[in-house]
Amino acid sequence: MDRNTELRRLAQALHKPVGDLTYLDKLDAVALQKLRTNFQNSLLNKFGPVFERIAGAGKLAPDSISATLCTKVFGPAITANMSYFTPMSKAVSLCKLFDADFMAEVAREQIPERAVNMLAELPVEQLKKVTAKLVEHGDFHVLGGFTDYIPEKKAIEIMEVIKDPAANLHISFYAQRKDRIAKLANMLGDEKLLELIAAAFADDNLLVEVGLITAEMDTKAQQRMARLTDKVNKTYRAKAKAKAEELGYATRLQAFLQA
Amino acid sequence: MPKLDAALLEVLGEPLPELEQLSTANQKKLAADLAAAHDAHDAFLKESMDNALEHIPRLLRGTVKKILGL
Repeated sequence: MDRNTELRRLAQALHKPVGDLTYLDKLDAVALQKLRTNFQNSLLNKFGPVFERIAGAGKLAPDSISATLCTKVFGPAITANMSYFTPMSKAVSLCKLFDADFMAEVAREQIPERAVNMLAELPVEQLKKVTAKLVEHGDFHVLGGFTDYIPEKKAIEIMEVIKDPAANLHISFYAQRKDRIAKLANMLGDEKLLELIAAAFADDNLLVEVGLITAEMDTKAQQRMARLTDKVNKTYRAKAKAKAEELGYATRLQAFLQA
Repeated sequence: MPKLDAALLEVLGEPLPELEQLSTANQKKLAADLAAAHDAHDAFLKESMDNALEHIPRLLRGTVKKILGL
């Protein structure tokens, strides 16, 4: 588990800049994750009974009426909180009636860990539309959180709608499952990966991100990344090595560095 | 090693032993940050609830609030 990723997610939940949380330096990634999930769950638990009652009242209403109530009356924040107490089949039917803008607003208010079943059940076309909206608005932290819980097959399809290679890295910035991002990145064609590498080396933060992703790849995939990195710029791997040594992930990047 | 600060324990709602690694001052700072985030979230949800209740006829609002436990 990557500590910086977890710190970014906690900062996002607390609406604080990462720099303001240096006083938590003694906490490792697991402790930070526990703190964030405790915080997010406590927010939900406080109003949980209210949302449960609202969701319960809407169970018998036709989907079209419930969807109108959600968009015109309740709004995204209440809808997001109600979603945890709505039967899955009903929630999926309602999502199909929401437009992508409203779905994106709901997604911003959801706790990814609580939306696992919904992510599994929602049609991938719906998820693609929401993803495109969230990318458009730069909501990478939302997508990063969901990336950890979305079924892998769907994640591969969703990646197709993310045209900007830097956006993939910004999403990864907030995703804890770097192994999954590595797998997805490895499925990209050479051309797309070349763009991704070029974007990564243009920004120090993204350079670390692509390093962490590459570190999760197997030997063959790391060697491919090395070949493509050299193609973008022969000096880049030395830069990657210095950064990896500085931050302590160089040993996991051996195949890339020695290729 | 300091135990969990009372204010932090209150805002957490349950003990998180990992946080005992933080100094007392930092535990207090964390408690304040968590409480502020809670307040902001509560205010945001209250505003959403009030906006939703605006759609209900004024005479019925009290009853609906009671039913929902608001």
